[in-house]
Formats: sequence, structure tokens, C-alpha cells
Amino acid sequence: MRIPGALYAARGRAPQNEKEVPFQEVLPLRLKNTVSGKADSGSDVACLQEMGVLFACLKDNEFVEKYCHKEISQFQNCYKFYMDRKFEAKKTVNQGIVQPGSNLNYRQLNKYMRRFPNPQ
Amino acid sequence: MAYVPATTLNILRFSKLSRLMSMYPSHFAEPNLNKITDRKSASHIPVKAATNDLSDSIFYGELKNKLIKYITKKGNRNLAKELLNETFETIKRTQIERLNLNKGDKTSVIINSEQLLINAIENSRPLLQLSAIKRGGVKYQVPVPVTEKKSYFLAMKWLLDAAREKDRKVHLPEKLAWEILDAACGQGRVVKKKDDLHRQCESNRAYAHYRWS
Amino acid sequence: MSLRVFGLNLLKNNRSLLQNALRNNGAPGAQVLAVAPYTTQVTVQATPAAVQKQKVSKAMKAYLERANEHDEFMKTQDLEFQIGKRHLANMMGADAETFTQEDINEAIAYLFPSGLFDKRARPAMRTPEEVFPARKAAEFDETGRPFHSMFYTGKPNFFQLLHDIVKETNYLYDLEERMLRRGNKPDENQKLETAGFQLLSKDQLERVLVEHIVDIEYQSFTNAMERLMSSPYSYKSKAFIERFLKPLIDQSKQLEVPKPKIDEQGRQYITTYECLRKTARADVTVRLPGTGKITINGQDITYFSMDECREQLLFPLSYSEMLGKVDVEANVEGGGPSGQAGAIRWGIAMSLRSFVDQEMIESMRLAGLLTRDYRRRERKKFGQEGARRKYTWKKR
Repeated sequence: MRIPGALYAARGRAPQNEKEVPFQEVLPLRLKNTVSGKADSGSDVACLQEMGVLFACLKDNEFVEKYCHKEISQFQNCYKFYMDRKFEAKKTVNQGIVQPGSNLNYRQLNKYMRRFPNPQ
Repeated sequence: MAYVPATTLNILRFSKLSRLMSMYPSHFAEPNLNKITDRKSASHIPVKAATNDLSDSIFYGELKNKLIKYITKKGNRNLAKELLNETFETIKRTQIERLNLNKGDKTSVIINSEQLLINAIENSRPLLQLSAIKRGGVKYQVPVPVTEKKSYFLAMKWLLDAAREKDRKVHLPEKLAWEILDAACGQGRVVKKKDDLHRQCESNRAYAHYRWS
Repeated sequence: MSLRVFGLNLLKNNRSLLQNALRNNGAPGAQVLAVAPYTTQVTVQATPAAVQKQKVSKAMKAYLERANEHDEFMKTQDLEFQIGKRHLANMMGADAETFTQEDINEAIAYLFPSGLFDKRARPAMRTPEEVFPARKAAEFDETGRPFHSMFYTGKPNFFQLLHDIVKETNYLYDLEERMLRRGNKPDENQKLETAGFQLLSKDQLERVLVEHIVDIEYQSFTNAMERLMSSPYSYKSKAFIERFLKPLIDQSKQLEVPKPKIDEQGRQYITTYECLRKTARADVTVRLPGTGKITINGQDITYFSMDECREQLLFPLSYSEMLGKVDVEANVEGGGPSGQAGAIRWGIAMSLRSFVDQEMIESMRLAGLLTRDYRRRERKKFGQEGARRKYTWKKR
């Protein structure tokens, strides 16, 4: 009689016997001292709230701008501030100059980690 | 935000990005026609030569110069200048006609055609723009804020596009004059185009957080 | 025990002697070599036991060898230079003893005329000290122990400089606090004037330190210096700061303003030759008591049919408020209308400097009227439609 496989499955797969398959340390078992810069595009969404307020105002006033002066100037100032800061940040961050703070660029992180590497 | 020509600023400006092919090194400042008050710090800064469209005559306008550059085709700046002058003449004629027809309030009609041009451009400047962003194989139209420079460019481009889209028999200056006059009082095709863009942005506001620009 | 201490002291003294000698000589010269064996000899006499243990380190050995080699090399170079100088003097028929470097330069320029554009690429003969850059002296003693505590950073002079800057800054901060507590304020009259000065550039700093530094290190130097200079009491460490500042050239005083000449009718006039713009070339004469008459190649301003060009001619005149007060004569050739107008504009502006005050000259400079426009037409590139535009890309 054939025994259905599901009966064995309950026990699960037996672990590998370490004598048969000895462990090999292909790569060193510690983290690297660098991070790659691939995922560091960062979120560039700025002034979302201001945009929402602006849209609400525009919709209320049937897209006539002169009733929304305050919202428009707030939105534009926000964007301008954001762009200026981005320009400044590009100058400092891309050079890898480390600043105090939690939001670090990959270059800055690499610099930190070179200073405080993993113990060998 | 009101229009502020860069040459009226009381500081020496530098081009923000040093252009690789420029004849001038990046520490050269842009020419400034104002009498700068902070002379001491400026006395050591070399200045670029004034370009041949810069002048201190009363006919000089920065926005006007920009518009001339956009009108120009195949490097014929002289023709572009003539066309813009003709446009201003047409605007002035119609405005004076209006002024004479308008018996009651004479102050409400602006005759200064350069002021009208500035008003028109200010009225047709967009705040936002739609940019297509691909997420998961689907293209989303995402509203993105435009920089000041780009908004001026778009306003002038729309004005020109509207003026160029005309019958063969109508002269460009005439059509451009009408578009400017319309836009200056907040009507016309260009202002409508801007409003449409804003409306579209509003309807796509749900995607605003997709932005990566 | 006492003997040992004594011996160590002696050693120390000798070491400092060596140190001083090395520091006084920027380059490893004959003197350094003369001192080095001398000191080892002294130590041998004073403390034979100590020296038996002490070996001259490998690094020191290699350094001494290198220094020797360099010294020999410099000697031969110097000899060759002297011989060459004599030959040159003979050729030029001058006295070899009084033949100066200037004479050498002249002789070389005469005997080896070169059409090369860059002056550094032309043939030259200079003293070997000038041609071969200075090298650092030994940074460690004969046992291989470095003099400087930051020797192993590889850039001891640079990091020492950073330390010094921070020391100065901290001193100024302390001073500021003490003064604040006493209620004193910094002296406004003594304030450090840095408007006409600039920090040393990277390669200049490198030359000063005799060390190679990277961009980011230079950045930290400038940051530290700026922090020091921004202190209200920065005048207290003026001497230190001024070591790293270099004066900027005052742009408007760079070109000498010519004195106007007097013509037959008793009018002042200035002629500016070689006014160039694009391919146009003009000679412009400006005469002071005038009626605003403009003559270009014998015609009046209608020589230019375009408004823009006429506007360009009037730009410097109206900007300096001399419109209608001077007469302008110009001879212009080559180029098109806008180039010719630009050339004349520059000529007028340059000539007008003699008739206006210093303030106005500076204004004209800031308006970009006194800068020669060097821009030329950019050449067409092959594989492209023009200078920048590419051909329309078609897959196939």
C-alpha cells in the first residue's frame, strides 16, 4: 500500500547531518564595512501638505488664484526652501562630509564605518 | 510672487552651476548695472563682459530679452526684435483706443505695453506640472511643483504657442498682442491652459507621493 | 643608575641637536649629513653601552642613502649649471662671473627662439634648486623614532596645522568668555579685514607644508580657518591668520588708466588701439570737450543699420553719463555688425576711463564694460550637426 506523502510531511524535513555536510565558511561571518549606494535615491517627496492645502483652496475657489495668495506663497516658499536645501546638501553630502544627525547618505555612512570598523 | 528682474538686485550674482564649456572661470560674476553699495568686497571679483543684448537704455527689459530669445528662429534675433516691437505697438494702439472709448474710468486701462506683458506672463505662470512616472508598469501622471525659472519659461512658451497657432493670413505680432492682452486680464487661451493644468493636477493629487524628481 | 641617567640625558641632548639641525635645513643638504655622523660619534664616546644596543634603524639608513644620493645629484646638477652658464656667457660675449639669471633668460630666448604658446613649455635654464622641488628632511632620529607625534598619520605638518588652528580658536573662545564676564566688548576698530584676502589655495598650502593633501583635507583646513576668522577677537591672532591669507588683486586698479593727450585744437583725447571682439578690430579715439558726435569709418552712427548695435555704442556713454560730452571716432574692420559694435563699445569704455572718476570706473567694471569679451564662435564637431547639436538619432 502506498503511504501518502502528507503523513511524513507532518514531521518536517530532517536537519542536515553536519558530519555529512560539513559547514564551510564561504564568506566571513561578519558584516561588511561598507554599504552600497544603490538604494540611496531617497524620497524626494516634499511639500505634500502644502500641496494638499493649495489644492483644497483652488478647488473651493474654482481655480482662481487670486483668492489663494497665502496658500500659493506658502507652497512656493516651501518648494524653494526644499530646493535650496537640496542644492546645499548635494554639495556637502556628496563630498562625504560627515554631519551630526541620523539621516545619513551612503557616502557619509561609509566614512563612519571606515572610522569605526567591525572587529576582525 | 511678484516679478523681480535679476539685474535690479544689489548684489553680484554668480552662475549657480559652472558651465563646463564657458570661456569664463567659475569665479567670474555676472555683470550688474546697479551701483553696488558693497564696493569693498566686490572690488576683487572679476566680472564677465556685458553681452551685446545688455544695455542701460529705457527700452531694456530682462523679461523682454528672454521673450525675444524664445521668439527667435534660426538665430535671426533682429527679426524677433522687430516682431516684438510690432507687438508692443499693436498693444499700445488697442489700449489707447480702449482708453478713448472708455469714457468713465480712465485709470483702469493700462497703456504701458511692457507692464502688460509682465502682467500677462505673471497670470499664465503655472504652479504645478504633470510628469509621467512609471510605477509597476503603469504610467502615472504625477503633479510636481515647478521652479520659478521653469514657470516663466512655460508661460512664455504657451503665449508663443497660442500666437503661432493661427490662420496663415494673420501676422504673428497681431495674434501675440491679442494673446498678451487677453492673458493680462486673466482670460484667454493661455490662462485657460494653465487652469486646465491645475485642474488635472488636482484630479491626480492622489499620486502626488509617487514623486521622485 | 646615575650613570645611566646621565648617559640618557646626553643622548637626549644630542638628539635634540640633530633635530634642530634637521629642522633648520628645509632640504637635506650637506650640513645635515655633516651633523648626522657627528652626533653618532659623540654618543659612542659618551655612552658606549647604550649605543651597542642601539642600532641605526633601517629607515634611517635608507634615508641617509637617499639623502646622500640626492646630494650628489644636486652637486652634479649645480656643476653642470655653472658650466652651462659659462658657455652661455662666452657665447653672448659677456663676463661669466657677473652673468645673472636675467641674462641667462635673455640669452636662452635669443639662442633658442620658441613659438610655443605656453611660456612654461619654452626652453629655459634655471638653477637646480628651482627645477627640482624641495624634499622633506628626515622625520625620525637614528633609532627610527619619529620626532613628530603625528608622524604615522603620514601628514604630520598638516595635522599639526589643524591642531594649531584649533588651539588658536579655543584660546579666542576663552578670551571671549572672559571678556563677556567682565562686560568688555571686542574692539571694532581693530577688526580683522578679510575682504581683500583669500585663503591659500590647495597647491599653495601643499607647497607650504611640503605635503600632499587631498580635497577633503583642504576643506577641513578652510573650515577650521573660517571658524577662527569668524571669531570677534580674531584680531588677537592676526599674525597666525595672515600666514595663510594672500591678498587678492584689486580688479579695477589692475590696468593703468592712461593720461589723456592734447590735440591741435586743444582738446583732450585718448586713442585705444586694438579693440577686439569676435573677428572685428577697431581703433577708438575719444575727445573730451565734444558734442556727442560719433564717427565710424567716416560715417555717423547710421553705419550700423541695427538698433541693437547702435544701442551698444551708446551703452558706455550713457552709463558713465558722458553722452553728449565727448566725441567718438572709430576705425573698424573685420567681423560683422555686432562684433564691430562690441569692439567699439569696449574701446569707448576703455577710453572713457581717463575722463571719469575712480568710482565710475569701478561701476563700469561691475557692469562688465571693461572686460574684454573673449568668446569666439565654437567650432563644428564631426559627427554632430553643429557645435553642440547632434544628428537626429535613427535606430536604422
